[in-house]
Amino acid sequence: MTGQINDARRILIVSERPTAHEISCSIQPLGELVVCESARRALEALGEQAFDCIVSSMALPDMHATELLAELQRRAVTVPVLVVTDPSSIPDTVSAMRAGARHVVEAPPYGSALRERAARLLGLKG
Amino acid sequence: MKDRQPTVFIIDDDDAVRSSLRLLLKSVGIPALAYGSANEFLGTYHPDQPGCIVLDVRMPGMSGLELQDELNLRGAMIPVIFVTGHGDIPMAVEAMQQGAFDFLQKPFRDQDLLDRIQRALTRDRDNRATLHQTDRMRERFATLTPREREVLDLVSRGMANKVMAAELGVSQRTVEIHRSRVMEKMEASSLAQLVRMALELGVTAARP
Repeated sequence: MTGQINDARRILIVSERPTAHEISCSIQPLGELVVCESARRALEALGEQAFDCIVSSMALPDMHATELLAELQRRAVTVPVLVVTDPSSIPDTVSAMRAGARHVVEAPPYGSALRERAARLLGLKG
Repeated sequence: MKDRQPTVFIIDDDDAVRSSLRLLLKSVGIPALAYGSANEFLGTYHPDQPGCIVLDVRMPGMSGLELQDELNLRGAMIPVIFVTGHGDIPMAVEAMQQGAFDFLQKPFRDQDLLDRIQRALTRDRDNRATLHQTDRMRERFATLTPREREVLDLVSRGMANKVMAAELGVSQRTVEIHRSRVMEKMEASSLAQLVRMALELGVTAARP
């Protein structure tokens, strides 16, 4: 079992700059970060490395987070996904949740709310 | 149980919303019933009643989210479409996490709601059909003898007849007979189907 508290959590951030940078700054204390700027790159990374959590922007350059979630489901990837969206997009939020997102957080600001939510998904104290 | 007609249950504390939604559903020929509060609805609803719920999030007394909680507790599978005039993302997330079928913000186009209602009714019908199948499968499983259940378990683990015979201390021929009876009683047309049934019934997990 890999339940050790001190194990570095690996977090995959799927987002374009400059949002990727903002997300990274927010959740940096939680573990080791890998940033992919497109869904395609993220899927490649997931094929090669193990992650404990995925934090993705709703809008990605090559697809919507909902499509990425569907693709993850198709590939039987069970890593929990947190989606970051702008505050106005309730329909997107509903589709992302239905597609299997564990949570959707509105941002900006990319602050403590995002970090706490990611921490909870990682099984760390919020 | 008599056949119940799929019905849309409208739950909203606003009279005007209730009557306009009822009218909208009437115009497309979908049976609908309207309630002014969650409690009023709960007092009359039977979980075997198919359909879907169009539910206001914010109501005096029991809120829409609390009603969904209560329905979950009661094991009601009826899909819930939330509608709200003051929705935000945390509210949408909470509703979806609690198993809402959909979450719609007012104002919406009539057609938009009707599309979602149709999808919810389809989902409800599919869910109920699946449940019915599982029930029938359980009934068939209940007719198996203890030895046949054992054989089903071992078969679903991929054990060969020869190994099974040794395991159970019987002849290979006896295993074959048990096996064919299990197939027959479970109405399985193939081994793959039988294994799927066993998995769904949790037969393999039930064995110590």
